[in-house]
Amino acid sequence: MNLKLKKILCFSMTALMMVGFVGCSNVGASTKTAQTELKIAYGKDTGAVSEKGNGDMLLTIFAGERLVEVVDGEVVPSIAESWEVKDAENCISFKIKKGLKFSDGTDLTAKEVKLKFDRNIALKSFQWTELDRIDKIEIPDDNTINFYYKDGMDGYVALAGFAEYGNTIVGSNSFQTPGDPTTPMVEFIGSGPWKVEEYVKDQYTTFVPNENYIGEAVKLEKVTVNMIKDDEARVLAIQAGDVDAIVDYYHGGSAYTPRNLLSTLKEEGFQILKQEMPMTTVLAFNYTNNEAWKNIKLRQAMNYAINKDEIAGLFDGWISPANDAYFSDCSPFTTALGKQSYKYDPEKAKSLLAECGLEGFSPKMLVNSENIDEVKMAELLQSMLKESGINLQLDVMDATKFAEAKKGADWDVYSYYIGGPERRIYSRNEGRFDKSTPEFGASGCYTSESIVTAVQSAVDPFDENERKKGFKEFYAAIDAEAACVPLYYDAVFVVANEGVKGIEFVGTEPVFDNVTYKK
Amino acid sequence: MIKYIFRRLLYLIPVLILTSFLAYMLVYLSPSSPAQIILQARYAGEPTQEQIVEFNEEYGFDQSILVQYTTWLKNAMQGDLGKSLTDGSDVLEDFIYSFKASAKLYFSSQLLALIIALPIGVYSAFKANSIFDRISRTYSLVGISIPDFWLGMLLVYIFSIGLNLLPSFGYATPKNIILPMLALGLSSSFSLIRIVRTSVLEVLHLNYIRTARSKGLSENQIMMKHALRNAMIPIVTVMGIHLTHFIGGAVAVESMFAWPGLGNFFAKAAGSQDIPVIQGFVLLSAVFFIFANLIIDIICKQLDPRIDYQNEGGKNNG
Repeated sequence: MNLKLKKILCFSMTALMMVGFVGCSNVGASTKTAQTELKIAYGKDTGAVSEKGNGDMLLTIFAGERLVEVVDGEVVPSIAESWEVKDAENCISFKIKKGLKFSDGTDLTAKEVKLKFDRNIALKSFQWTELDRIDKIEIPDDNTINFYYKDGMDGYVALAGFAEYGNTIVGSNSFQTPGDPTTPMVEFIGSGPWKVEEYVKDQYTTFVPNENYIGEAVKLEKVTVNMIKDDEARVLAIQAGDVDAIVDYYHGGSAYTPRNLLSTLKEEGFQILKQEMPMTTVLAFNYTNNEAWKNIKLRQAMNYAINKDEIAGLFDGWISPANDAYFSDCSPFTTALGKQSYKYDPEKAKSLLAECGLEGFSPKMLVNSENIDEVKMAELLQSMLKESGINLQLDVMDATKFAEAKKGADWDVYSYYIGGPERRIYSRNEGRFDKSTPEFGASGCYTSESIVTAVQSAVDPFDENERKKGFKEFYAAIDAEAACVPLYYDAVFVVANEGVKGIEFVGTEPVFDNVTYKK
Repeated sequence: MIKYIFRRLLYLIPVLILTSFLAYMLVYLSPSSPAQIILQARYAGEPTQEQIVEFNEEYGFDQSILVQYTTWLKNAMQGDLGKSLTDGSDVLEDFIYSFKASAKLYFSSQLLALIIALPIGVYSAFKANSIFDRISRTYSLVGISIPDFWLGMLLVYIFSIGLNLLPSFGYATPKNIILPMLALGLSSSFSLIRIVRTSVLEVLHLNYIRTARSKGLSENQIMMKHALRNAMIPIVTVMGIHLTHFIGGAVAVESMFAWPGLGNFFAKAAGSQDIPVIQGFVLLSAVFFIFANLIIDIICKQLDPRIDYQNEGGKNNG
């Protein structure tokens, strides 16, 4: 080798080593200065401009408001200062606060509120709202809006439905033809503490303070929500200092910080903020298409055959096993039962299966390949269930096939979530367990007359104590009937730089209104 | 040559009809329905049967597949590729936006690949079996084994997290392109080094090179005037194959760097069964590929005039 080549090689090796050393070093801390902008990484597009959709939940929390909100299980005023159920529970009337304005400076009156409901009804966007039961909407004056129901109002769940994300109120100028809700929504003009300054589809949305907001002004001058779809890429972005926080898509199911990276991030000095939600991942049975699942002993056998602690172990200690009946103790209405009816007991599972005449049982599980956690969990379940003599067959498929396959008969079990952010606690339970609701569809859980009665006693009463009592009955009914296998309690995580202060969870949603940031 | 180009352009018509029809069929053979997926995403919940029926009526999915296809084709011929089912945006506008992003990434990364691979490959061929050649072969072999997204992560660790020099994601500033370009460019260069080396090595053993040497030409003259020009034909062909990176092959890198290119554009449409977007993508990609391959053939013809495209679609009579 000639001398020149040797020199080049030596230089290259030294350069590589330098890069390595610098990569491992820590830049010394300097004096922290107050920041005016917070950059967030988020796994979804905010959908701030969408012809027919309602925008992402983060968008509606930042820049929108609804007639009411749900906090700690209770419906509380928001755009509406009060409400009244009248006409033998056939009508609910909301009084709108006076002096409210949208971010473009236009007035927010009952007329503007009606626009959004007219739009949702025209689009049949009823999910989790009970709007399908509405017969007509009247606005007797600028500050009153009355909703009349076809067959009577369906109790508290209908009231809570007004807090649904899709019922976020937008201004007249949001529509292509101002004031015409049948034309596409071309801009998100809300009345929340922030307003959308710039939106680039699938890239970023910037929020700045809404100077027309009548509540307390937000503290930062700007928040940029960057859409980074790849889970690991969001983590790399915060490690590189390109974003200051990562927010989970708190609907569940997708786009969240990988749980097995949370400990590493904590060790690196990031804050890990966790808020448990009334949302539980369960193993559901295909009882509508498969008679075998109507046998309670089989459902109980599955409950005994699964070690939930081991399942939760997949998430590196950040997620709690669903050892109590249904939801965790995260909200006043989702108090735990305080007992564990089905402790892991493979022998008991075996004997129950023998009683059912199902030795060598081989159920088929549908698995969504795009959810890595679900795949890992399915593989663990497969090996775990062998202990009880159950040969779980995994059918792994992409999300689109999965959505279609679960409607069919060719499967036995799959995992999915029940519940969600707190504002859906009533509608999601009713929708999962009451066959008469439009949301039951393909995601309904095992149900029976006693479960339906119990769920109605939980979601219908206006009286708080009655509802709390109803929730207990509802949990007990699910538990007694082994309606599903609750696996683990979901949570929403926010990872933030050390200097970010003031991130709050209102209900179960992260709010950035009082955030200050020094770095 | 002009006749050949004209003939190739005529091929465009049946190819486009066939590819777009096949794409239509493939979407319909898929077990899932677009209404289910799109409505679920739009309203964050299971759509009702009534919503599904209305959706299908609104977008014409209740009609026979042939009626749907011919309507779509008629509109496409007038430059109207329809609107996305997910957010109502214009398919052509969205495609052009993503195309520009992909073009920036593709051409810069391929240029980088050439800048790396040409000198290393040529020098390796000239100094076959030398230490430099062995190192370069090992380098390219190791490189080929590294997936481009993994290389991307490595680059982020070094340049974003370690050195804090470059942004780890984004599209807004010129700096944003550097890391995805390096990931794709380095990845392409690994295979290109081997192609360049093999091509040059083959040419160097031909008689006319020996003749050139015996005439006393310098090695530089032999390389630049005689060897490289002929060796470029397979290199250009491979660069053409790398065009798949442009259209959709770079989806992992695009996703990792949140780059709004065609890979991400298509992955999103395919995931939501957004039929107008999928159709528009297939049609415009087919147009692009046909033109790109035509340009590659023309370049090859310029490099080697012996190539005869007139005769049986391109036989080498040399």
